[in-house]
Amino acid sequence: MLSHKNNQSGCKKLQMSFVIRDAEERKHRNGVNALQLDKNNGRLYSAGKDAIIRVWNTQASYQNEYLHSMEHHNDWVNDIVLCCGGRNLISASCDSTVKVWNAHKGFCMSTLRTHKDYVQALAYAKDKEQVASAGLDKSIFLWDVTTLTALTASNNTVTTSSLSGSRDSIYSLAMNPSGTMICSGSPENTIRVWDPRTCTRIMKLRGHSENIRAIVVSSDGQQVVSGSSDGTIKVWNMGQQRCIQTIHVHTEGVWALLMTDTFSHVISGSRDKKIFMTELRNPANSVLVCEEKAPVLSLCYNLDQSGVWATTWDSDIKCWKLPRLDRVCQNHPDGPVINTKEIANIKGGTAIKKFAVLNDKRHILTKDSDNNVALYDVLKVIKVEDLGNVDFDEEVNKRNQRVYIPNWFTVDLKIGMPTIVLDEVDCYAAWISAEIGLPEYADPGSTDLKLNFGSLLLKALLEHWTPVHNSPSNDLNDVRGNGYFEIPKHTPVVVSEVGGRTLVRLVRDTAGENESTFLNENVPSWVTDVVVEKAMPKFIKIPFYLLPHPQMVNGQKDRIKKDRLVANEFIQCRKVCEHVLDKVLGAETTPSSGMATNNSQNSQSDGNSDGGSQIPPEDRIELLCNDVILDPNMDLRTVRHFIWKQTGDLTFHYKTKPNFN
Amino acid sequence: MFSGCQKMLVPIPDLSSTLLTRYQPGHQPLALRNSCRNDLDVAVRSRDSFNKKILKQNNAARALDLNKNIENQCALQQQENKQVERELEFKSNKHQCKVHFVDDKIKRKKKLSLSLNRENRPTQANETNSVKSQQNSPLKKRLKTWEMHEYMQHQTGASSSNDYILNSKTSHNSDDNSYNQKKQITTTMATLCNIGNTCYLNSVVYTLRFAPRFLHNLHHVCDDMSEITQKLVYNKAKSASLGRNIGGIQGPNTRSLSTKDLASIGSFVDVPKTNRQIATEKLHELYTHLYRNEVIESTEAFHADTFLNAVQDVSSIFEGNQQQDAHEFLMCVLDSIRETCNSLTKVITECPDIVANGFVSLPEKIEVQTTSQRKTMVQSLFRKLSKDDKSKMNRNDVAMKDADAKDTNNQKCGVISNLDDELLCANDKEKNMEKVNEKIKKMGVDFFTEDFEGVTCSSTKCLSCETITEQKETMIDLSVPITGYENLDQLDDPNLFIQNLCITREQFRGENKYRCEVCTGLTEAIRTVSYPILPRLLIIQLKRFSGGMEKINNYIPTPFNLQCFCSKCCLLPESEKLHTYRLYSVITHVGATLSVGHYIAYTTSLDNYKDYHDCPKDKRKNQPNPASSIPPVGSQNAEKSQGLMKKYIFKSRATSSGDVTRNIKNLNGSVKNLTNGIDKTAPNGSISCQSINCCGILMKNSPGTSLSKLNININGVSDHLRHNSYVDNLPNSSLNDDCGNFGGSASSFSKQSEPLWFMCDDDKIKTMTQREFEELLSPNKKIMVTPYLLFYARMDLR
Repeated sequence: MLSHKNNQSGCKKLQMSFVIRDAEERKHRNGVNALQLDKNNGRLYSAGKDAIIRVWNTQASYQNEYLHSMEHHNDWVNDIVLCCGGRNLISASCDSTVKVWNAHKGFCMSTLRTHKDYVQALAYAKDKEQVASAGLDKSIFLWDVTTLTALTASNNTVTTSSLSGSRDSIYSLAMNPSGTMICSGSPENTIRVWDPRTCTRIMKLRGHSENIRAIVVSSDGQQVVSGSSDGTIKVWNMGQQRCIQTIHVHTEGVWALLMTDTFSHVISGSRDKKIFMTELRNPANSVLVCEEKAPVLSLCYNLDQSGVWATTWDSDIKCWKLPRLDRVCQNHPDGPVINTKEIANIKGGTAIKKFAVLNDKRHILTKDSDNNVALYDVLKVIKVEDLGNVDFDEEVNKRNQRVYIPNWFTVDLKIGMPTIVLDEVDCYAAWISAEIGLPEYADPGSTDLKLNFGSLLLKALLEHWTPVHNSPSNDLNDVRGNGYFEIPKHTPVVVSEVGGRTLVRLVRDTAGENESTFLNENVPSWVTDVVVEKAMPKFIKIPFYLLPHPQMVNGQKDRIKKDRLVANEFIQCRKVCEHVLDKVLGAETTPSSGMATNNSQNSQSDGNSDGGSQIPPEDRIELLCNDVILDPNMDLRTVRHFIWKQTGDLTFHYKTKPNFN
Repeated sequence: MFSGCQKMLVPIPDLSSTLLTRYQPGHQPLALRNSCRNDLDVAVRSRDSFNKKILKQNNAARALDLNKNIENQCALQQQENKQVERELEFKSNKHQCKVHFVDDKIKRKKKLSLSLNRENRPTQANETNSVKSQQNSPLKKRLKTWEMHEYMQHQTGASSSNDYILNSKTSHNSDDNSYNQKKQITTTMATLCNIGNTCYLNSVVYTLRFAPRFLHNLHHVCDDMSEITQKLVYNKAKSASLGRNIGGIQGPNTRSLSTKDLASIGSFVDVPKTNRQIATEKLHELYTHLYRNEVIESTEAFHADTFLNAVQDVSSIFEGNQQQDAHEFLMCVLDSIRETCNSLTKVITECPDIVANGFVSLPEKIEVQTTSQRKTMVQSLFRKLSKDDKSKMNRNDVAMKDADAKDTNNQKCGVISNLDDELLCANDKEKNMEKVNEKIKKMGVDFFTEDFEGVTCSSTKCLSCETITEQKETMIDLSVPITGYENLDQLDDPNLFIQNLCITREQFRGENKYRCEVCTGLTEAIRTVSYPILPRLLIIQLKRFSGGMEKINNYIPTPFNLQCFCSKCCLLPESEKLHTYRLYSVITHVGATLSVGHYIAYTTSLDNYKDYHDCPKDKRKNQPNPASSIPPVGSQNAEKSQGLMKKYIFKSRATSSGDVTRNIKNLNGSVKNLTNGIDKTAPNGSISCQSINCCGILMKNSPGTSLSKLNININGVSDHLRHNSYVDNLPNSSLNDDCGNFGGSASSFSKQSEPLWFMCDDDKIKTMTQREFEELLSPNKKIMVTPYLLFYARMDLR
């Protein structure tokens, strides 16, 4: 029996995160990094920065309709490769994993975790069904696809060979179809060439002055074409081990390369938003294919090779008509004759670019790439409303209340959708009274009910998980969820190392036995303590001084007792008033259990005494801080944050109101 | 640490520090003084052997040096003895060597002689230096053979014929004037006294003195400041007195000052100045004093306590007598100068009125301004720049510097933060702005930005989206990190060593990724630091410390010519670079740790031919102006300068003034038109700015002396133009501006002279050739001199 406290990832700290999104995200929510086309069925696979791989049907009559999404990554998908005749897809992501997918059905078969940093590029040797992966950790791993696809839960080991020697992070990788040669490009401005069969280094190609972002190898392995951030495209001859041609069509980094079948022409996409088609032998013959709206990230032929699919920083995927090869010639002296034509467009959605957390620490405002503002509820993991094209800062100011609640989550926008991250340190910091925190669920009577946002959320996230208990199960422990609300079932929950490396990804409604096991092994103890064992997160206490107001004292200065009290930070001022009444002034009301003069814990649900005086204490006692009269609903930490604003202990002064007695 | 001490035993550095810590203002008991002397003796003794070596190597040159130096020494001795009584009144810490050293030997002898003098002073008896002479006998003999002879001619009544130390005695008897007439005047330089661990201050002051054009610029800024202050006071008084002419020229009809007027004056006299402005002024004053000392050939080391106090008011770090960091001190001084320049610029831009005809005009010529105008002006002149202003200025300056550096001044005055239309007298705001800009440029008021400020650019490139974010900042010095693990074997070119450490490249990867705003996430990035603009006067700090208190004493090469590595020059091949930098000063730190040590400055004068010439501000002084107190340059040079001299000479030395005047006259006679070291007309006919007579550097020289070969003619307009051997090494030396190489005359001297460096160790200044200095800095020495601050001046090659 696996103890859920067994943290197999070593001593690294773990965090929990989830994404607020729709059940189905049919459109790319951010740029698209890579494309692969299955010629047999016309399926176009696109790997997005929103961590999702989508599949489109590009056959003639289907008009590029959306087929399905392949979701399992948690960060940008950097590269994809279609193998085994289109049956399997291999993907590489910034979450440092390489995943093997069943391409037709669209589910993830296995995950390879050998890389220690972002995996940037894949290379495919078709004849051998071999795939290589490389990334920022300077390592290159070689995989045999057939072995990979045969992995199952029981047979889950695979051997891999690795190529060593790269001195810097690797940003591009290419193999020839026969798998006799593999090249990598890195910010050390050189292309390294190995023989994957023997894992030996063959040569280093020097010439570029900046990072190499794209490499293509000819089928015979004799020529290599590389695109670099210095804006040039270089053609290298393997036999001579040197550069034989440099093409200067672009003004900024060349990020995508596509070769024609005969290796006669190169189609290049660049950061300067242009796509050119250039003849290798005679670079003066170059024609502009199109000018995109944003830097071009990847290129792929369409089904009949009449056009080229291009992806950019925008989420649209467009297909552009390619000029005929014989038309690729020098521009007219009168000026370039540009005849660009867009054949197709797979429209994408918007990515969220900016966010602001509101003071209630429950809602966030976001602004996306179309300048639309939206309001999200983090606690319930939903989008509340779209506000349209309003002024972002104004909305933030409008919606910020004068309440202070500690931070208990962080927001990450790397994938274009809000990813909420909870970590051990802050997760349980937000204690809040029910009527402020969950006004829609709070009973008007139970003013003393205290809730913890982090605890509520985690319980809701793991509602459908059946953990393994240490203690015998009983009715109490079987209560699932937080008892107030549920969160959307499609929300993916991720356990990862602080610093990003993913351990487990769970989508709640597919919580099968495998996932349960994963969770058992990987969910950190700070989560399980609260969610499973139902332990109470700790309270945060504030010390403060309670003094009669100078106006009240009237010459009895020596009798002033400066009470130093400690209380939970979320209690409201009316509680202090109560304390003044009961303990200090010794009025006739029965003592309530709201305050402690020593460090005893406050129970979460106060049984407030309604007996005794009918007049609420706040009507009889006035509480001031820094000579500001306090709203009885305000809690101590809010007072400290907005009114006290100093270091040193909070100090309250009390005064009797005229209607006292 | 004296040059030539490399082979000294280890205790010597401690010696220096102990010597320093003993310096206390106030009296020092005789016993202590004696013990000091003993320490010196120890030092001296060990140095003997080394000195012998040096002598063997450079006998001829040294002989000649010695010749001159001893003569010099005689003259100085005489003067010194005249001041014997005065000496006793001064603080006792002056008892250490006040005399200028020109060579090891002389220095040593000097010390001995002085100490002996002190001993003997009360008695004034015939002393025979028998004790000391034994120690010095071998050298003494050598001396004797060379020039004792000549020397002895001037000594009358000397009891011992074989002792140079009898200078003191002989001076009583000799006729000063005749002696001066016959004797040739050799090089002297004013020195600063150590007034309590102030070697940090002294080395910085010496360095700045030799910074090309610095004295000139500083003078004019201080000058303008004081004139503006005067004017403000005047105008306030004027308007307060309802038009009565207070403080101006009193005509026949003006009534005398009433109490009312006086009262109103009184309240305005105290125009508040910021501490930084005061510090700048005190620095200028300090240089004035040093110049004076050179003119009157005083051998006293000057006490820079006024200046030190002024700096202490700016920054309390320097309070007390603790040892301080020279770099920190330098930054404080430069900061004060910067603020002064900024205030001045601000005042002028806000109230262009104050500047008429291209310079700050005299009170009568200014119309009475409105009270508010004046108030604003005073406020702006004398309040500390607020953070806003500073940042605005900096940012704008930075923005300005993006443009061609030559246009800096032109564009600079686009920065007007508080310009109020009402203040401008002219209707057309823009026209006026242009005029103001021009005036400011002509006045060279904001020389600090031109000379000291550079721009660093930190450029970060995300490797994913390849967006480059740049951050530009102004800087006044470059800090070069020294790890102690530098691989110097790979160094062919010491130039590139510093360049490589300055132009850095940092990678963000692994756990330390960069948060890219465009990618909205963590990515790899590369950050490079480059320098769009390097200042004309470049300061490089070698950070010989790493976290802890350990000082890193490793050898770092000190290039005398530094290749420019500003952004433009980096792109050009070596033969086509636009600028190059020449070393003009090095401040070295002696000591094993950071907390205890001694600073010594090594300076040289780079020819600044054009420095004092064609000074635009000078021309105004030429205009006939009765109220002006500064004499015009012209044919009446000698007389005017005489008047000038009178101004500067101590009152108690009325007789000496006459002496000096005579000296000058004699100079005029013996050396053609060599007045105060400057020819009245330069070869190309321009006239030197009068500021040279206020706070310049005076190094006298006369033809026919053997020293002319090692010509140290600062403010260098004379027949004996010193020519830096640097020039030979430069490609395409069609040099202009700073280098001061003109026409055919220079080339004829090119072979003759070698740059001369001055080792300035508090009140001891010693000359050495560049070769010697290079040797001093080489890594082969056992006890290494560790350069800490390097000072370079830019030369434009095209």
